[in-house]
Amino acid sequence: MTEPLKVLVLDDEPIVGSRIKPSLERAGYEVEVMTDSQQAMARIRDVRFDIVVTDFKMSRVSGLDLLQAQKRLWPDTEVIIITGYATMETARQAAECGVFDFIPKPFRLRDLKEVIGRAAEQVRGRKD
Amino acid sequence: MKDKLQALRDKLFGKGGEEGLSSFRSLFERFRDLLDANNDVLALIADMGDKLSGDYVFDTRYLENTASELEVLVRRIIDDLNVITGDRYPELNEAFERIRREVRAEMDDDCWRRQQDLVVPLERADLDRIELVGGKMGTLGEVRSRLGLRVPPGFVVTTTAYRAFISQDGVADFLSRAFADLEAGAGVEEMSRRIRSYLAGARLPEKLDIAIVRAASRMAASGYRFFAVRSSAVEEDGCRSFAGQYRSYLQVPVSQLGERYKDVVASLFTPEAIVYRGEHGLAHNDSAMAVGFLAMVDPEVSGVLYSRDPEAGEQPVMLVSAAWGLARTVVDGSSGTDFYRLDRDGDRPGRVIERRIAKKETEVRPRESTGERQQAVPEDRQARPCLTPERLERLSEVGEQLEAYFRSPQDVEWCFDGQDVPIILQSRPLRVRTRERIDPARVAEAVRAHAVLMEDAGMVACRGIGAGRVTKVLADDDFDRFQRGAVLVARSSSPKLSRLIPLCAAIVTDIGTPTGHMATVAREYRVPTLVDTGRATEILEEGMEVTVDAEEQVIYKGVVKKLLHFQTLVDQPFADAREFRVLRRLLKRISPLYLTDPKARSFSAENCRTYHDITRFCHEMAVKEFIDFHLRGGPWRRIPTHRLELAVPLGLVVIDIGGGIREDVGKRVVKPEHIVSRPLRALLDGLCAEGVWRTRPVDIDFRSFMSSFTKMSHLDTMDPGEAQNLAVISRDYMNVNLRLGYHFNMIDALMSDNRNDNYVYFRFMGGVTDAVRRSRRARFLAEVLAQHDYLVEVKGDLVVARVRKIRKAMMHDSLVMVGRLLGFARQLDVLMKSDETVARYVREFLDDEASARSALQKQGGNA
Repeated sequence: MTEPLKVLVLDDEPIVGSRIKPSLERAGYEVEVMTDSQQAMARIRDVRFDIVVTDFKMSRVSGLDLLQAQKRLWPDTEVIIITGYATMETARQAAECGVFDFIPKPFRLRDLKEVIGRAAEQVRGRKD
Repeated sequence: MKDKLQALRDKLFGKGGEEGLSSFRSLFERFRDLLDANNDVLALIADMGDKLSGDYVFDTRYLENTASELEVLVRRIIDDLNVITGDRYPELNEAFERIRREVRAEMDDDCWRRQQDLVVPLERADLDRIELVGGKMGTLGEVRSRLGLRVPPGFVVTTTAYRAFISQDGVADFLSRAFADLEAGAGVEEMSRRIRSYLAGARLPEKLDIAIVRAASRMAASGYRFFAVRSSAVEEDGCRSFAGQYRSYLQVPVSQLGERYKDVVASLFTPEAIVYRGEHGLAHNDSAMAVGFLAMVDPEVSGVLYSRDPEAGEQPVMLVSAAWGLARTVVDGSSGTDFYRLDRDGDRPGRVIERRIAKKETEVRPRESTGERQQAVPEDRQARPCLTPERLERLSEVGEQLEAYFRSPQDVEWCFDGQDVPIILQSRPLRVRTRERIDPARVAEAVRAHAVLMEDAGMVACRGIGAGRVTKVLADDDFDRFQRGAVLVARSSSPKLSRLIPLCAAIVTDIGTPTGHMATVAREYRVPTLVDTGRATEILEEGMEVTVDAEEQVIYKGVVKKLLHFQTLVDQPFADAREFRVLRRLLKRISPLYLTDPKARSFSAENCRTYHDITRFCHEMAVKEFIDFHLRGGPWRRIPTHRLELAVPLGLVVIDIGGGIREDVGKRVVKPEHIVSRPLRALLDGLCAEGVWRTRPVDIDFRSFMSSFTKMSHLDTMDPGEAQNLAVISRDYMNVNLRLGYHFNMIDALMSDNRNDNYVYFRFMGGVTDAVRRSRRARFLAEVLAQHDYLVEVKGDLVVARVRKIRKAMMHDSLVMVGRLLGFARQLDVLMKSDETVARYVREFLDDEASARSALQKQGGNA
């Protein structure tokens, strides 16, 4: 069996991570959930995640900052941004920084999983 | 954008015009805006309900945004109405403010601190208001109201009451000093003793004392003389690790309820509780205690049920301990206890796998005066098992039900009085260990071993996983053979199935929507539900064992135990999350419709209790305003208002805003042939065509016409003479508003030579009639309209259908069809007796239409 992909889910509202985690675990991912974006910034330095799912608007570090940091550290990681406030401008910025996809909140779990599935294909494709 | 709007207006109403007409137009714009906002409100409410399915990830921000959006829309509706009516309803602003505050308060974590209720009847206690009634009583309330299990009657003295008690003069000061002393390191034992004895000696606030005595006396009048007084603390740290440790008292007479209440409250400050809070960094100030007062049961036998083996959670067993009399001996082990291990699997759930019958020399029973006493068990009963196979079977059913509903293993306290139906005294989550690790990643593997019967199946109406034997419910007699624990498979998500829902392990339907009534009920009972799967009734075979995975939208052959274990032992039950509780509370403030009868005196702005009430009220009043338009003086006097004389009793008032009625007609009453508005003309052609009213041409009156839409006989009091419906028309445009009993139908259409401007917008909203008919009718309308190339959306009882950019000739046909549809629909209530009839009447309508069209063509050919 192939090694499970590591996914980080970051959102300052705990319900988001707690709903996503079991659903992704069932799909065979190894999932870590965080609610503090500053701690997440430290964590991504230590651990190489294959996929990062992050909220956009958070109290300390923004999703965009995290995206940039992540891509600097591990360019192969795919980052998916979930947000209730997508503007054209933020979408453009995120696209420039190499975001994999945007998902507007609220979203269906299966829609998220579908996007993560596509990201996983990319990641695995590069690993092979 | 502005220009476009102006252009549309010009098109609708023509350019310029006299003063009265232009004022009218601006009012009519407001009216249309009101209708739009009204629609948006209903759609938002339906969406919020859909979010409860668990299929979405939403957060607090979603709740706040939606509440704000609703505020803006409802505000707009009120403003529109007040502009239209010249500020006739200023009270609406107060009603709005009141509701807005209530809605906002529900989102505030401290909302329960502002609650007024000192006492809540047990049947109204639920976990949505856990902060008010505590975990134990909230659970017990749901066990009764949702699961329909037996629980003792009773009431809850709320945390509001607790706060009233501890914030009295003197008590508050004493406690804050005591808490400060504890902080400063005072001895826990000593402080605990002081606090408890102080509270036991404190007076209850008079209001609270009266409330308790009153509630208890009401029960005493029904013969309940003694009470069990039980703690129901609010979980201070979100788990129930400590909540079970507080005091409870049995067999308390009414005269001692106040004293025992104080003792239970004081148990918040036992040394153990104080230490626990200290260790977990919880403030003593934040803890609160609700107290349950339940009618005392004098049981034959009592005990405890574990729905799983705590040491081996994945095994299909339940554990039961039982003793004669009250459960005390089971809990403290002071006398012998019978022990059973029951099989959860197989064809006979509740079968005894293992039993150890103890010698039970003593039992505890309620004392005649107060309290309990231990007494000797007569010799012949000492060695007898205290549970019969029937009772064990009942218990195992209850265990299954509680576990499925709360979606975690349960520790249940129960007893039997004379009947074979257990009484539930408490149910709480049971911590279990599993022998093998349930690794979520392995779940996927286990699943692969099972044949997939349906994949990507439909839509999730309630998230979760359930397994059982397929029972198809297609005809009425299928209802009676439905057994608890089966998987219900049906053609459509008919509300009629609602009464089976509490029995279901899962539900699968061919058609239906997650916003329908049945979906709402499924969520209430937390039954995993997939709707709109297309062919479940064909693919799933009667009696076949299946697992319905309403998470991944897959149906597997056989029972996938790993999946079920995953749900029960690993996954967190989403419905208990704070956000879900808040959403349910919000919906209670927003969605119910209390203003149902426009003729009732209570149909007023002051009586609006929810946003839905406000929108309903505004809609009604706005339509009425236009109907009575000619009565208004001033510049509006010259707006021509006509009563349309029709062969069918529609009671239509027509306001012509430009070229909609022949100019040579000056009278108040006009006939269909005077109408030159193209869209209205087409609609009337359909409605008045021969044969459309064929079935009962003689005795048709408006009342029966209406009741065909509603059939809410006790409310259906509309008098034919008063029937008033509204059409605002111009040559190319019509906006028809029909209130047919308690349903609303709005048809807005533009029919010009330019096909790009053309559209028909059809909206049908149900009111308060019974949900079964409402959904059948909605489905009938939706199917017919879809057959005619309308884009149809069904949200709850709202049907919205649109067609646009079609040629004038097609517009004509389309509107004739809509007219026929209105005529046809009047028969529905009598005839749509079952779900199957929906398809039949869709066919019949289409056939009728086809033959009418061919007759017309023939006529055309002959001419």
